[in-house]
Amino acid sequence: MKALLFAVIAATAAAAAAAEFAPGDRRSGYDFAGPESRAMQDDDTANPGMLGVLEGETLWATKAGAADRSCADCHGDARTSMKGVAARYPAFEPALARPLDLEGRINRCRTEHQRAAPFAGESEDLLALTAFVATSRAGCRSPLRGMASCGRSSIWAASCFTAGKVS
Amino acid sequence: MARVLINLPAQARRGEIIEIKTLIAHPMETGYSLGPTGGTLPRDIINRFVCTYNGEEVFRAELFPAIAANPFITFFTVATETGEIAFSWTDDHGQTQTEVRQITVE
Repeated sequence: MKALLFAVIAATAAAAAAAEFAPGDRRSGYDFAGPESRAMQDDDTANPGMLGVLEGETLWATKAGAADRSCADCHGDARTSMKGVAARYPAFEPALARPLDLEGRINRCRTEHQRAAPFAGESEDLLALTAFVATSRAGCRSPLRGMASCGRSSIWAASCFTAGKVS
Repeated sequence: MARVLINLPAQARRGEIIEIKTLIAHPMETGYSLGPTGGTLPRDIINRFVCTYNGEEVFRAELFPAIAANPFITFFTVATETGEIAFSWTDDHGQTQTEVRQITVE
């Protein structure tokens, strides 16, 4: 019985190892896009998502709530402090005993630390702040591409999370 | 003030044809869509866009309700001299937003 159990565990572990891609083999959707789509995505001034990023940059430094604190008061410069953060979400939040997406995390920060009302789901402010956090240029995870394209793919990732299915 | 993204080369050769790309945040409400309470939302669009190069008009566009939110306007002009390129968007309320960018022509 013990041997059988061990065999099952070993098989599961092997399957998990097989499912894991080596870092060099990881691809984002960007790598599968055509040249026209890539050009559009790479051009900050042709991407309406960047309007949200600009808005988010303002919100990052705006004091809010009973605590009268801005995001920047705790987290400092997003370009360094938010490095790679968007790529780590959704993540399991032990305190809530459920997964939390990036927007959920922002809203949690808002209620817990700023003691302000959370942003409504899909609201312009929440999307802007999420897009801003997701575009911190240093958030590049894949060594395949330059920083700029990494920012783009994060925006797309953020826009996928905005469906709000997770939190 | 609405958010604006403008892309034009900071430097150009004299006589060079340069591409200018502009994007402005605006809902471009048509006046036909329904709001949360079922009533129609009042029309609110940018109806006019003007670009001047050292005070001389080089490009103008009239915008209509069928144009999508966050209008993206791209056009070309000839780099003639060093100076200012000004962009103005005027909405239905008569408010105009103007942004100015510098260009150096060698």
